[in-house]
Amino acid sequence: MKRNVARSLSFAVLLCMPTVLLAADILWPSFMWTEANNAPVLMLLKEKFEQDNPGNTVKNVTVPIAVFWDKQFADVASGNAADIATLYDPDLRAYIEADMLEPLDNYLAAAGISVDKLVPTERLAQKGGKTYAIPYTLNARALFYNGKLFREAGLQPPTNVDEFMAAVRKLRKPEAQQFGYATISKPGAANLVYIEIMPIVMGFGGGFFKDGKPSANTPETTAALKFIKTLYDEQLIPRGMDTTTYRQLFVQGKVGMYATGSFFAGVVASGDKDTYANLGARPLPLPTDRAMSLTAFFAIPKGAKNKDAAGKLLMRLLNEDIQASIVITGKTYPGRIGMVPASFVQENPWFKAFEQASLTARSYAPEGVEQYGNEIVKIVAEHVEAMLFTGVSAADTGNNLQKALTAFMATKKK
Amino acid sequence: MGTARAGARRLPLGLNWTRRQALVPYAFLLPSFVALAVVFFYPMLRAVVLSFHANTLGAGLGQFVGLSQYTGVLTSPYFPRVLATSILWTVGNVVVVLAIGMITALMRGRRFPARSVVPALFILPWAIPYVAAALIWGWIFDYEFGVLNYLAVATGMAAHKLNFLLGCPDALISLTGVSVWKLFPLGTVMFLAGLQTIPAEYYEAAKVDGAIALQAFRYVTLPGVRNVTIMLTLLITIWTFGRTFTIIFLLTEGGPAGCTENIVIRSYLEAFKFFHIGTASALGVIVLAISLVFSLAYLAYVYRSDRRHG
Amino acid sequence: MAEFRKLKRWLWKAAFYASMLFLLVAVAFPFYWMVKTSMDTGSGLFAYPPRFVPSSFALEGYKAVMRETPIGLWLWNSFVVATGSTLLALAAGISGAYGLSRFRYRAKKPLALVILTTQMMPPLVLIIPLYTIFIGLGLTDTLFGLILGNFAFALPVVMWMMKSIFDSIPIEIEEAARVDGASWPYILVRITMPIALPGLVATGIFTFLNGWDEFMFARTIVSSADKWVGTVGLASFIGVYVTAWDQILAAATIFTLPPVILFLLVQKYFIAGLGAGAVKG
Repeated sequence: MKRNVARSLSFAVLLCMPTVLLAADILWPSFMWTEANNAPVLMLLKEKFEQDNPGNTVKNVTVPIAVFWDKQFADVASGNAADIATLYDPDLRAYIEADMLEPLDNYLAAAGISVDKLVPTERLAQKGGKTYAIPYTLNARALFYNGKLFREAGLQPPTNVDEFMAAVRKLRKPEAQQFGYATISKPGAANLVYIEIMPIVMGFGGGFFKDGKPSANTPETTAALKFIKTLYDEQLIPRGMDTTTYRQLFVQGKVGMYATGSFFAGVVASGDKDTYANLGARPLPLPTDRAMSLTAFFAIPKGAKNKDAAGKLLMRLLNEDIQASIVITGKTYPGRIGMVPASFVQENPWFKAFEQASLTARSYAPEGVEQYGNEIVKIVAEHVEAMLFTGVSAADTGNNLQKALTAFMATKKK
Repeated sequence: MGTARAGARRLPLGLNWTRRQALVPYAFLLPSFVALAVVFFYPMLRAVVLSFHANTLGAGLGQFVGLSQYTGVLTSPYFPRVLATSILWTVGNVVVVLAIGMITALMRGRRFPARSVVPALFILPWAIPYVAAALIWGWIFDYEFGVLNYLAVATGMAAHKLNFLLGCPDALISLTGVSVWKLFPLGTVMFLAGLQTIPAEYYEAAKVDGAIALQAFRYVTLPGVRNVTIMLTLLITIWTFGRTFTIIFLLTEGGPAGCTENIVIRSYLEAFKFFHIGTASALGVIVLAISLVFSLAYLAYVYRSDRRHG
Repeated sequence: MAEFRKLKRWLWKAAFYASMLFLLVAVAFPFYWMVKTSMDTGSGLFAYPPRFVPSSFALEGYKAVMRETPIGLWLWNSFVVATGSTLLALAAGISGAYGLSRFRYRAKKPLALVILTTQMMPPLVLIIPLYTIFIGLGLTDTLFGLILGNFAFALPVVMWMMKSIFDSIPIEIEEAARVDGASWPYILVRITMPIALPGLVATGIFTFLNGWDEFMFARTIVSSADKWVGTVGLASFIGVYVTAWDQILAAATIFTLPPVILFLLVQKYFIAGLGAGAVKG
């Protein structure tokens, strides 16, 4: 008798599910709804999803990037979570470790997508055999360069670290406010400091954590820190400038090289036709070919009111049409492997460097302890700032960092 | 030598209280304090409660952990530095605001052309929103393209470009400058009013006694504005110690290397970057405690010596 | 000897004018620079040496801002929130301030201290508990929620300032009316308030400015684009990829104009009102 009741109850529930699905209004706050790169992609997704699932709508709410992360946290912390959360690598781990995300395995199975079709950094979204997020874009870093400035200086794009430094020096023209390279040179958001230096640190073969253990004073990491410090001390990079401002400087053709994700090409294209026409890209000419990546993940927070609809929406994102749009419009490597149309690469030769990087790129989050990412980032940023702005040597910075990170990890053992 | 008061004296209002009359003050107080309790005290209480629990990401309370958030904060490597920065910041702001406020108030007393327009201009920094102020000062202080560096080098006042926001303690000094720029009009206005209550006879008497300007200032002006000075000191201390956020956040976010990180910025980082709500609340309570102790001590000191001098 | 004294007077005068000029420049320069930079365009922004005259008078930044952003809506929302919270705070705070100023009762000093205490906790720490309450009340993403939140922060300030204002008003007039048999509410409204008017205006403006300027709470509570206030709108110019400096400063200038104009119009009241409160301490 009980089993029959149970069976009919679950059957009734199953019957109800599609009805529940029919009325869903998926709340998706994001800063991407007004970004030139991402808005068309996400709007396409919204359009297709609403077509395929009549009765369901996607409520796209624009939140400015400057307030987005704090607001997302405030919402989650007060039980007011939206249906879709946007998370970069360290935050993703923190949320997973705090058990704040819904597992997506059912939705993946229903859509017939297996996890190994997704980019390697997807492993960050997995715990205990379950998957908690899907990658939207994999922003691997490569080196953009301004071909015009190189031609004027009679240089070829560098192929190793010595040529790199030489090119930076040769392209520096103080009278014209021209710089060879641009990277973080202003105290400020720890995240930005960290993200901007990681391509160099990883390219040297270094990193602040290896397998969950601090590695801040290895020779490779120290060499990378020294490289960065030289750039700042010799005023080879624009000083005291934040990321968005020196990016603008590059767009206006005043910076020779800049390592960042492929999305930046879109920024240059809409900023200055001349610079875009001369835009080239190649893997970072550093001792190793380890590229850094920053993945934008989408997940469903626990407490989301329209879980199943959101799950379906995320799976729709992984369809070929949306994935192709991410490449063509977003100009970034999408979450699924092998989705880059050949025609796109032909028309945009600079993308090759990023395609290459994406397949071997590693996450910028501290290896093995990604969930403490934000705290570690703050500690690293503080010491890097001390190195740049208060004259601490690269070697000492490495050692101080090692001490600080070890002490930090000790507090986590408890 | 008492202070000249504006004329209001405290009279016990009615020596013939009936019970109903005794309730009158509470009738006035009730609506305001009820409103205050709901929108202010309750969240404050909640924050205090949060500070006794473990940090969680979700909406509920974490585990009860007693005082461990507090001990964690007080023994952390960052706390002494952050506390020192807050104190330095507060002292700097109070001293400079008092000084400039007094100077600008005194200026109003003199005769000069455009006498009515200038004080209006002096109040302008107050009107500009903090966000706009932070934006433009950030650009003015810019190392490569900022106008201050250009002027400093072009006029020969500096050998090379200055690290306004990039060095330590340069950043702290620059930020204090911006904060003072925003705050001093309050000082001007309050000192102006205070100065106006000093009877002219006092100055004349001092002149007759042969006092020079500086002595007149010390023995007539300063005592005359004593109340204003006390209130201004208290207010600015409380405000700059526990509420300064926007300016530091938008210009250096606590950098370089934590040089300008005060307690408020730290609690922001703890809450929104590290997801440690309990720790952030504990920091808030610590700020409250320090401000409270300071205020009580300060008021006690100030009004005790009042009674002594009669 | 007379020569020396003349020289000294001349020196003092020179010092006076010099410092006045210096202060004026220090105060006014950022405004001038903000307006000037908002009129620079593109490469004019990164010109070095910096231009002291805008690179163009076409107001491109302003046009872009007005064309591509609903800045009018932002300003209107800011206005609604600032005015609403100010009026609410004045309505709720005046009676309490009066109660704290007049009368003699044991709880008086401690209650005044309690008001001061509300200023001592960083508002940041209160935002999440407040936000949780608002979620429970269904007030998220509403302007009314924002008004309430600003009201919460404004109420203690209003009470404190109005208390000072009331303290500075001589009690004799009220006592005379009391003797004549007037009730307390009558006294407050008909007798005291008219005298306290400059102070009231000052308090109102001060509170309005705080509401106009408020950023932390607004960024948490509000999501929909049609509820954005000026501060959130300004923040939206800080892009993920590039920051359009001329646009953001144009928007900042537009956002600064209303409070500045308001200030200039009523600065007489403001100085008188605030000053009166200051003296009583």
